[in-house]
Amino acid sequence: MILVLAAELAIFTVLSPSFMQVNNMRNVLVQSVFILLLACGMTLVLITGAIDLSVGATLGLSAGVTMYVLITTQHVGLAILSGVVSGLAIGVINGFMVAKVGLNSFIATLATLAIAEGGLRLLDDLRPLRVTEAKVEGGWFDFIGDGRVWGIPVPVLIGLAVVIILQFVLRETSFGRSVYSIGINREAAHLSGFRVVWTRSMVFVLSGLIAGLAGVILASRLGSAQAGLGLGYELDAIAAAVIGGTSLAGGRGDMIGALLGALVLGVLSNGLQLAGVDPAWFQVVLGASIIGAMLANEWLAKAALGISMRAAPELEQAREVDTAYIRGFLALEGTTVPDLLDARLRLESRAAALAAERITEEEAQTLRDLLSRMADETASDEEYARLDQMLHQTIVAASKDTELQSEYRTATEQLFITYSTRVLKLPARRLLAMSGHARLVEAITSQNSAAAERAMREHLDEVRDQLDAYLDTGRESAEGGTVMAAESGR
Amino acid sequence: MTGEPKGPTSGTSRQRIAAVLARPGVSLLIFVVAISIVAGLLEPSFFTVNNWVNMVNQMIFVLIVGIGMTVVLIGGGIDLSVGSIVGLSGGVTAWLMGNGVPLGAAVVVGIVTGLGLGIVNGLVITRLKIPDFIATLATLAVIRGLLHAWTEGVPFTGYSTEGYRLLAGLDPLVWRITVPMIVAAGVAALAALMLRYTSIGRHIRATGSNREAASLAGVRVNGVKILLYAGSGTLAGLAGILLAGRLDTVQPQMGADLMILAIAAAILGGAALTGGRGSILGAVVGAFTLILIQNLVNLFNITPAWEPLIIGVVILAAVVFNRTSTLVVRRASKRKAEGVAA
Repeated sequence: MILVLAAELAIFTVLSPSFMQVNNMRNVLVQSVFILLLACGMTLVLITGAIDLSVGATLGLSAGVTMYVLITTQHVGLAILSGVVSGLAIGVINGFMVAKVGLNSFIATLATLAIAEGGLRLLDDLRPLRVTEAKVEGGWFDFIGDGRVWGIPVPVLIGLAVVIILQFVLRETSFGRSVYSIGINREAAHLSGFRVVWTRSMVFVLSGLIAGLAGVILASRLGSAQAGLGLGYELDAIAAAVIGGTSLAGGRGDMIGALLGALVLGVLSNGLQLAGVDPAWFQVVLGASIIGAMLANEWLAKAALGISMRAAPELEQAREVDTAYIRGFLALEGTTVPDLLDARLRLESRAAALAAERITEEEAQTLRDLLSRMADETASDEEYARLDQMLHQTIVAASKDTELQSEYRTATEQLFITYSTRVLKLPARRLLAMSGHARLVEAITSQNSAAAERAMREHLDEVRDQLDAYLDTGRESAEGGTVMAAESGR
Repeated sequence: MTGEPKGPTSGTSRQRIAAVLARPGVSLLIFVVAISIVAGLLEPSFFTVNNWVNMVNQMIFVLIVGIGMTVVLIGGGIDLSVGSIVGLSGGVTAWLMGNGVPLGAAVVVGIVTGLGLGIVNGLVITRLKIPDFIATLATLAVIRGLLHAWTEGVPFTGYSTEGYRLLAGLDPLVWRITVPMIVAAGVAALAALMLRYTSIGRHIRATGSNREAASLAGVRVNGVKILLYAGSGTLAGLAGILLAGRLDTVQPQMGADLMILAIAAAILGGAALTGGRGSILGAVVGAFTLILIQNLVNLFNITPAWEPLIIGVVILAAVVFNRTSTLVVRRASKRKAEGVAA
């Protein structure tokens, strides 16, 4: 998406000279901040596999409450606080209804959307919500929306702060890990000891809180609020999140994606305006551009990986695409194939050893069942790949070590998605891996810890050889090297 | 709801009741009936034929679009562009009528417009491999933008004819029965039968529950996807034609609110955004619930400023009721099962 953003910037710079001016760039950023903030909260919620439709209306309500309190009490601090708290309140209701009561998030937040919209309408009915009604000095209220620090608009600073904080929370804290694991598999997250209800409520509370904050900034910027403010922003926020790589099905996404998505949309909309697109056709061009941006993202990613699609014969071409795709994909995630395999070797051999000590009869039975299903030669390659993945996951789960489980998930998630369905298709791979799997299950179910660890190492070394041969990476060292690398803990 | 089990003999009937209650839309229906009784006691004009015919007439648009949405959701997609398709198809038919094209031709072109836009959605999603949500969000903007650009902000009006009034239900067919009522009932019945008894229905459900597995089982998942969006587009086109006839004016924002209502109706009726689940009967009850809430707000002369707030609270009440009754039923039947086992 960075490439798409760069392409957008380049195109609009050529189309309209005023686009790249500092003033306009400031405008773009400030205009994007509201969608960005909402998209940050939305991304959190989406990663857990839920959705928050109320963010736009919450932003409107918060702006209305801020103006109302400002007008009635003339107190800036109190007004800002009430605005943020009103957003928080909607978030708490959402969190309670979805996580605790167990309502479908789409319907629950659709209802709070209507409630927040209604709240703003009532306030608007009571008195006009304009800053001119308040007899306070501009001062810090204006500063929030219009102020600058070192030439950077305050809203932009707030937006960036939210992105950085949430990105840190997502990637570095156990709360962040529970957000992802709930999105991937809620049942498994619960079994792994994550506080599912608490996390699911908190993402809504945070989303409401951020929407409240965005409402305060918007109120300060506009100096007024009227019924209907913020309606429809939720779709833009979802769009920004999804463009940034968040999946509606949960388990994927981050704040950097939300940032890029919001900027892609913001630049597009500002650039099209400056390029003089007829207002009547604006929506048409905007919609088409969104599709264009998604396509460009794919093409640019492929082009950057240097694939020539026509040069190679069909089979060779498929392999090249796989190779480049897997490498490129992992490079984007800031890691490499050998890195991931090392991590996997380290984690899984430990998991195998622990599993052999702690396995329950039920789990042992599951492993045997999986093994016998894998031995069925009529099973399709995809089916086999899935069973293979389940086998490994069951072993890791049987270790009953939550730290290990969540680390394992992060390390292998990308790898499994990309290569299990493609690479494992090779028929030879199946035959070879079967004996490894059989030894592994045998060692674990007979509760021989040392043998289990050894079997897992051997099995994963085979996997590494296969993958290396397929990816043609040319390994740096022989088997001993990998074991050493694994033991040194990467 | 269901009390303690009294003995082994009461088991089967009790379990049967529990099974019926656990079906999508049934507990919501109980909520609707309860609310209706309370409303009827408070406001006698609620239980008049007039009011109910009114509600059914209002419900038709949400219902027709909502059925398309339910099927799309079952198939694992989501169609955000339906509101815009309603607007553009209605606009096409209205414009053709205004320029002297006969009703039949105008209606066919309107429906084909919806079908075409639906196929475009399906192709964008399957060929260009763009996520359903983003693809239909983009076509939502494009289609709505086309209507804006075409009308230049000036609504189409004064195109109605006697035939169009009959078709759109402004004039009844027999007694108070109108053509749109029959159309909506037919659409609902066809959709329910298709989902239940045809292989296409099974393919749709399979695609929605597990796309990869369905594909391995020989379902042409891309074909199913295109079919889903084509169907949803066609139904939106149909709703657009009926709505344009009903309103006798097409303004550029026509139908914009139908998208969220249609999704809400489908989900109230038990559909899930994650695909594979949903029922037509549920969507009917869901659509009716939404219309009932609006009707009550109107009937009790609630100040417009309070309207959205109350709608929100009642929707919340409805889903909480739906949820708790499902839980109660599930717990009761579980207790029953344990009792039988012991």
